[in-house]
Amino acid sequence: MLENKKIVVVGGGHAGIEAALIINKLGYHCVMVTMNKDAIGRLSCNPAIGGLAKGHLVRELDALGGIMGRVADDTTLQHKVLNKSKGRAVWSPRSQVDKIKYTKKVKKLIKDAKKITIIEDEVINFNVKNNKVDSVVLKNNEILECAALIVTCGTFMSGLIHIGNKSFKGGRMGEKRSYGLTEALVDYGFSIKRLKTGTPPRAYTSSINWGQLEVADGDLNPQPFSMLTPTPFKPKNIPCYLAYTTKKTHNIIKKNINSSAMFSGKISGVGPRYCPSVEDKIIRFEDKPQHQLFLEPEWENANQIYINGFSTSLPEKIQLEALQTIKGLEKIELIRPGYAIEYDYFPSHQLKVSLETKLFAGLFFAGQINGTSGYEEAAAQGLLAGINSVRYALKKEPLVLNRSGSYIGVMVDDLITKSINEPYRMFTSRSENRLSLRAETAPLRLGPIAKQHNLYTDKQLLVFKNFQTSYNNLMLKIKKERFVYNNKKEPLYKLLKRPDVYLENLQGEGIVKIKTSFDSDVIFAVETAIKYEGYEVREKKRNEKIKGLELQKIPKNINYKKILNLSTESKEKLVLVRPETLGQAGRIDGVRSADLAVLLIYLNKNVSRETQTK
Amino acid sequence: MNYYNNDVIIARSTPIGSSAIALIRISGLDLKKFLPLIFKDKKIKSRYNYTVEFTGFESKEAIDTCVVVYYQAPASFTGEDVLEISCHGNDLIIEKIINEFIAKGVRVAYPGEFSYRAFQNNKIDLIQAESIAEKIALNSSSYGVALQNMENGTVSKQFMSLKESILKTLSIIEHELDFSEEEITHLSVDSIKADFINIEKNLNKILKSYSLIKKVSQGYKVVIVGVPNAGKSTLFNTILGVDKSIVTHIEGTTRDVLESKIMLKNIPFTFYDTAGYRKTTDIIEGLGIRRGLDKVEGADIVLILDEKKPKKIMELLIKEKIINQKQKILCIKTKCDDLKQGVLFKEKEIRLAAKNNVGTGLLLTHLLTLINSGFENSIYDNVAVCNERQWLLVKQAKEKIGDVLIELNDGYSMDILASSCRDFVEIIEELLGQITSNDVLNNIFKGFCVGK
Repeated sequence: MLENKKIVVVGGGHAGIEAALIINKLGYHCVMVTMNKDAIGRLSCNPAIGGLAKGHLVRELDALGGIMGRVADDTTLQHKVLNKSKGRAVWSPRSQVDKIKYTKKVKKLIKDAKKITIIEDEVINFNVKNNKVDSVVLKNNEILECAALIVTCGTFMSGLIHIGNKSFKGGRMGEKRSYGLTEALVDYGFSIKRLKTGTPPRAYTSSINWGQLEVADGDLNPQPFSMLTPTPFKPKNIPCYLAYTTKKTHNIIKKNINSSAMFSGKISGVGPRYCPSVEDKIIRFEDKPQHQLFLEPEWENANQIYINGFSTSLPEKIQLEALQTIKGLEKIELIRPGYAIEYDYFPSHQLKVSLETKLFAGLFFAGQINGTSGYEEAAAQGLLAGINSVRYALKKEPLVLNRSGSYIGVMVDDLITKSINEPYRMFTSRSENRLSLRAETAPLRLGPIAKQHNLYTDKQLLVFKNFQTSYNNLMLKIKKERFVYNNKKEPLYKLLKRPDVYLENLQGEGIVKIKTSFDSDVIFAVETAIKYEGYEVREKKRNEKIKGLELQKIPKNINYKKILNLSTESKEKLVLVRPETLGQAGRIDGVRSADLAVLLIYLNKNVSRETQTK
Repeated sequence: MNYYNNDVIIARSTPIGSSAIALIRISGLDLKKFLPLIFKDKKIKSRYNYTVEFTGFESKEAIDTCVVVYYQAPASFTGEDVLEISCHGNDLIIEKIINEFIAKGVRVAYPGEFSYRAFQNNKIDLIQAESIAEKIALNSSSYGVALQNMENGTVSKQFMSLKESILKTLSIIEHELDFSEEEITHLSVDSIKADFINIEKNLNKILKSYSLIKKVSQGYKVVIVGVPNAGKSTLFNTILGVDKSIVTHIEGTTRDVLESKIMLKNIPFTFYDTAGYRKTTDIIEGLGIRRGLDKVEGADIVLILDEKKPKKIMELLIKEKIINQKQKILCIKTKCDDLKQGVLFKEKEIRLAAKNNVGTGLLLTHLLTLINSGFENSIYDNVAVCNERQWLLVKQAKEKIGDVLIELNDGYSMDILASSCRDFVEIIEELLGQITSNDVLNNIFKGFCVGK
């Protein structure tokens, strides 16, 4: 029987939602404390889910029983696979979504979940007993006992919004920031740092001369994110638009650069280099004659449009003036200006791979609070923290996703071992196993884990099993099939390994039979698996090499200061991060391989000393 | 440098440089499979001495006569199977033997790795273990080419620029894969190809400079050939200042190859005096001639002596395929007793009278000029302080980049290409210190305007 105590989730963003829903699914009670019920599941920046590497995360979330992919599929305005010309391992699905419908749908899921209670309030503190989180304190000083606590408060911790030389407190435009919890955490000994991010202006659709802009449509026959989405997937295909900055735009921005909050020295937080503000782009890449803007509809028939690529903290007047130099935007009117936001985060080396904090048992952090950026990154952490909070409450070993098996594993490991100096987002290059961690392999990689941990509903389990069976059947079939190609009879399996041969382009009885008796996603998955098999083997071999290090645990109470021969830099880093395994230790920036060898000797020595004294 | 592995490792255990005997040590769990390569069908007992004619595993080329001892696990230094090969202390021989094993998948050991394994297998005690840790920590700073060393300037510009160009190309590929959301193509396959070809060129440069440096330290071989009684031994003796060759007027006096070393401007030269070239029925003389001719094959410079027309002799020897046209050849007209000083004729022929010590100085100066022409563009200043391990890595890197270029030509997609580059980068990391994904990202952010 489950205990009566509930798991408290602070925040109703993408991390909070996934955490709460998976806790509910696992049969545990959850209390979601949010400052604003209406804001649950809000997409505070661009109206898209997925994208390069992020699409992989959404697929993985879906394979682990998360909801992001399913909701995105249901609210898609257009779906597109990015990187189509570059090899299937980096094909990344992306959906433009209807923000209103997305939020609505998420709220309904939360409302329908039997074991989720929503409290519109603020957690300002928490209590600890024997180093374990025991209860939370709400704003009215009400105390709520809890089995575990997951903090997912996004950009709301000491949020400070900047537009030109104006700045004001807030978590998002028009929403209060949270106060109290950060201070409590700092008092408990967590270290804190500041980051910055930005968002572009929103404009009235009616103020734009659409005929002057380039149209960017979605794909015609897309595959959905989620296994649960019925196929054929026929989402809407509402266009986005492309516009380009001009010399004139650049001149206006350059002339007014000192009025930008980011350039006037008002902002101390570090912003993401992969999502630079428009003023950053223009100043740093002066010789680029134009920059692309991507105009995304925020919902169907929306009166407002999102101007991707024009993230800025210039004064509203300058934003408008600059935008009006762009072809098609000459008469643009803004609904609200772009702005930069500074917020607190907790450097993530303070976490374990389970996303539990090293300081207190039962306290989990997920999402932007860990220094990441992006809905998908947050959701993935939320899901993992949710699963592990339940496992913690049930006194079970945490679920650890390793680097070699998923991008989520890569992200968590990076968060813990790498020093994060800017908001962390996923890139496929962050993985050593890019060729294995393809978007379409997510169910095959993570389905077994989900099954083992009961992360699927009965329906999901059935869909997964069907996919797996059908995948295996087709693989067997292709391995038996022979095919006449260039007047030579060859095993189809071997033929498909060639970079220029695809089932799509082959004809004949056997092929037609395959095409009619298997779903297109299965065909795609099997064909790609055959093409990438050799490379997957190569990556596996590489992983084998370091497996020993991953398995070698480092005792919690190790005293690095006592280890002679460790370089000073490594010592500092090891003391700060306190890695759980030698593998992690090796990935910490600045820890050299020689130091690892020294550490290994030390560990083995102490083990042998123990056995000697026995 | 991951010490946590089961690779078979090899290293030379005696210091670099000439010595009477050198020791090569090989260790690994999987060592047994190498025994037949060395011992053929012979049954080998642990801890016994075996004298072996060591030959190339594939080439069957005779390398050296060695004494080999096999230590069966666990009764060995490392606790694994160990082979100890004692060979002659000549750098070239040692390198050849090590290379044979590398070609079979053996890896050159990291600093302290043998001791480390001994520790892992409980072969040494705790106090010793401390000192291994120290050794590893100490050596690794001078080991490979750690980045901090680069800043100290101990590593040449060549390595630096190599690292830069690799980082640049990787960044371009990764940028393409990770950042161009709107499918704007930033680069063509051709430009990547050009970059890789450029990197390959750099690697070649390093390899070349290394072999030059090695050449300089190993010395140059100068072989004196000519018909009988052309004055070869006279010249040999004059240069070396010793009456090592018996000089008479009887043709065929020198029946074996004589060799002697001198230093010219700190560069070692070995001169070989050979038997005169002629058709002979005398078996012993015939053998001597053959040996002389064998020396010609490995010569860096061939001196062709004749008192009348050395050029004619040269043409004859080329025609008989005794000398290779590509070899450095210098014709010497001997016995020019009327000359007061040596004459360099058309840069191709030196006229001298060795008996009177006229022109030998000129000859030696000219030899230096000849070898110096190998050092193009003062490559000398730029040469990396390169050890054998690094050189091997450069060679491996070059092979890998060849693979990448093949994939590029065959139209493989960019994700696969990037993965193959990673193999290449792994080798480079061993060589130059780590290139982390952060390095690549930093480079991308520095060089590209990313973001929608």
